[in-house]
Amino acid sequence: MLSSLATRYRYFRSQFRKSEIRMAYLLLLPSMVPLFLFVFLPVLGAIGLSLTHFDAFHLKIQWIGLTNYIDAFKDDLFHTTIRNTLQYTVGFVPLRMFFGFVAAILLNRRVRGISFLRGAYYLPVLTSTIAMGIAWMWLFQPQTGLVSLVVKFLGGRSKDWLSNPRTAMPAVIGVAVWKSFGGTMLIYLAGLQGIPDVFYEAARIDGAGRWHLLRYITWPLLRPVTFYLLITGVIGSLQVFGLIMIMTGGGPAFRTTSIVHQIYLNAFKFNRMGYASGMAVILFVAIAILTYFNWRFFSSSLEY
Amino acid sequence: MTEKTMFSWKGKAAGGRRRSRRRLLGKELLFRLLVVFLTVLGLVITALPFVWMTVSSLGGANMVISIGWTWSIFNPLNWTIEPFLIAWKMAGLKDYVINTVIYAFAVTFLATFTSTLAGYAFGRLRFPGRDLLFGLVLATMMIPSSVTMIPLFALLLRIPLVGGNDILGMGGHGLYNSMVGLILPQMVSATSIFLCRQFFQTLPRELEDAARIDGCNELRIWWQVILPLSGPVLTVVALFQFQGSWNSFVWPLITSSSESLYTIQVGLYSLVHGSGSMSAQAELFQSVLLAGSVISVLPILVLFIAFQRQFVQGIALTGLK
Repeated sequence: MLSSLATRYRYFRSQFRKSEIRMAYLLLLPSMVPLFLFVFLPVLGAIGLSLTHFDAFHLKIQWIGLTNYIDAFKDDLFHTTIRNTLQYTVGFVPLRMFFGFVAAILLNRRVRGISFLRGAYYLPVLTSTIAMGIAWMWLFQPQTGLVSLVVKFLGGRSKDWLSNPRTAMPAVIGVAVWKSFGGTMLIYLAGLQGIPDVFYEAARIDGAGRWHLLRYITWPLLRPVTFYLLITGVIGSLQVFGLIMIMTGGGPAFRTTSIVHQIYLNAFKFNRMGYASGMAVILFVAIAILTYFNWRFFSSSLEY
Repeated sequence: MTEKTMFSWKGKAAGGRRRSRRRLLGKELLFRLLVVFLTVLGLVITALPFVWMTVSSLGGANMVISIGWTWSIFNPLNWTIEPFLIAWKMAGLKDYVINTVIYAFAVTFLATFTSTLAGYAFGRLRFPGRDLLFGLVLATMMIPSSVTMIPLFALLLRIPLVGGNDILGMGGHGLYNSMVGLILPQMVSATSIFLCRQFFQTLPRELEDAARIDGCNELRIWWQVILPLSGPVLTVVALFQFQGSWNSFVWPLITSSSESLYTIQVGLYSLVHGSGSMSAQAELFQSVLLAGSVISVLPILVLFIAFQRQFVQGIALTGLK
């Protein structure tokens, strides 16, 4: 009849645990249900679709096994697309890290107005790809654009930058780097500010000059940051799409089309959703492998 | 402090003192000049496209196309806001902006709301399956949008009992080309959940314990203790969600087929690569395009100037994953 204090205490605790668990699931419902519906299911759907020939508008679906993948491997356009995307990656990722690194070193000082400068360098990252793509298309105008004017001023010859097969991809890479190095700068800045001053002072006492400081202290200590930026940069650059859509439309003569661009065209212009899903799954596998390396690197303990 | 160390030693430091004075006049000055030069150069390269775009949108582009480039395009007397008016009314930018505002506000609100709830659950509450579930949430961050966008499109198009579809999803167009279909799949963001969880884990446990001792149930703890303190993380999450949705291009491109649903990015794209009624007036058109771009960038610029610190904080937090 009179339950002991201990029993009542245990009862209260267990009730509270139950209410905590109930609350947790309640709080999770609004986010987990949409995540399941709009992310997990579609991934399974994409894998399934890649094994079919699918026309969404006329709702014709037909199982064809691995034919999409075989077609992709034999398709010249797909080879060109992969080559373009890799070229873009090899140009874009190192450049954006280089300029971000230089900018971080330049702006790593406690001067008045430094946050204005950092903000200014970062602003292009926040703007929309389409809007700045349009602005840069104007800058790349063959005779009258700013780029052409500068090149002519420096003594070169202006070209039709976006229509010339040899300059189209570098132009797109240039815009992409311009639009993105502010982000790498901020991350490098955070890394730089994590390096204790003691290291620099100790090295200076030993007579190290600026270049030595950079090469033997700063750079090695920033290696994790560099690795992270490398992997995330590659993952991002494999998915380049908006800039290509607006600036070149994949041209000239398929010189700048990218994997996601081809996925989009095949799915929504050529009505080959199965084939497009196949390419998307290939892309997904590549990204998953990269993500795995990223995770492995940061899971192993790192000591300076 | 370093100087004191150098001066208190003999020999090498004394020589260093002499060397550093000479260095100040020679290499040091050169170095400082280089730093300033590079910084200014970077600023110019970063800002110039914006400046050029704005000046050209104020009528400069017409002049350049018809007359050729002269310094007079920088003369404010030659500026006109006519391209902006044409962009707003005739090119349809007004409707595009309205659509984008609705879309951005809705997605921002929903994503912030769901992420805060989930972040608190993952970061503060204990329940079976918590770590596994959170691992799955993190895993979704590596799924490229190009993989999900095709099945999502099919799902929206063939969703049963909505938008003219029968129970099997046939016949109509479902949620395709509708604002609801535009917003719905964007309402959850794994990055935001991650940020919220990080934030909530930094709150002291004593807060909740004190509230529990006072007899609050979990819901009241959430509403009266946790939420009022969430200002910082809510701001960061909302800012990034808004900026992301405002600039969003691929998903609105796929989900809308009629001009009345276009967001501002899709609208701009359609002006450049789309049908021809506007491109007839080619001369005026370039300025109109650039005016549209300026309109698209302006709100983000304002937001950034107002909330610069929060944006930079957010980057650092995401980077320290």
